[in-house]
Amino acid sequence: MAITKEIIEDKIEVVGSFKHINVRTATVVKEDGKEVSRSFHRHVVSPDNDASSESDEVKKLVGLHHTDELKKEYSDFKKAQADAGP
Amino acid sequence: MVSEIRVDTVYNESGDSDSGINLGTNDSIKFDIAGSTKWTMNSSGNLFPSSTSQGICFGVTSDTASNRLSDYEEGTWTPAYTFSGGGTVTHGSRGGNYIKVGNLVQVGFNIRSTGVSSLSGSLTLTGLPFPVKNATGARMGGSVGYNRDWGADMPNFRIYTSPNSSQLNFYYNAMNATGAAVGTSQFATGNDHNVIEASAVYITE
Repeated sequence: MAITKEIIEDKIEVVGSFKHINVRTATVVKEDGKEVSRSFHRHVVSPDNDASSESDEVKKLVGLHHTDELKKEYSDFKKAQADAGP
Repeated sequence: MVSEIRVDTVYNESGDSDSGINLGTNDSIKFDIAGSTKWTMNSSGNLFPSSTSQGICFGVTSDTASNRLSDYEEGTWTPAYTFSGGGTVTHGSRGGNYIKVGNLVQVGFNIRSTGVSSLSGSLTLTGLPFPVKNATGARMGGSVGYNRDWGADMPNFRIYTSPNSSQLNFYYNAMNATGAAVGTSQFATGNDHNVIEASAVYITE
């Protein structure tokens, strides 16, 4: 009986006007090649996030969507939110 | 009397004859519509759609997107203290979980800091599992269940989500004063400080 565990990014979506990248990381446990469990961990890569530690696939999407223009728009948006205060 | 009928497919006879129940695969039941499988019941008895955009409509008699429940997911996420003006927070034990039902996300988390370096600006909690929807009314509050050892007394210490971001914000206010964002002077610098256990509910895209 061989039990294996693999960690994969099984779902990557680009959502919203600021192109947030939703990344779902799945931990898949298999017994003799048959999947017996799958659990999820999620994070979001927004235009102001450091993507240097992301996977190559996510980096490609960051390069495609998180342009300098979009980063500026997002930065201005967040500054306006912060200025508005609680 | 016939006690058992063995067939691979049961399809409609009239019309285009392309919808019915497909029993041709071991240990599964497939529900075919217009010639393709739309739902499958597997060997464990769980029901799967053929597309993640499919769901179940409630309270309507025709397919309406706003009445269609098409997603459920649970998992974990990693919360992090982040200051808007920069600097570094080192964290002790922390963790978060989430449940997503349709577009509604419920998150729970705990977090603490063990040290800080060169902080400036206001405090946010980053790492939410889904971004907050960009819409009027998408700024939603959270509930703080427990907290201790912050850098200052903060009456009405609260958290809220910001539309179009994946972060929570912190603020406090006395009842007779306007709100203020939690900043560096309210954030303790020592080990095992700024402990919080909380939850929030928000809408995602």
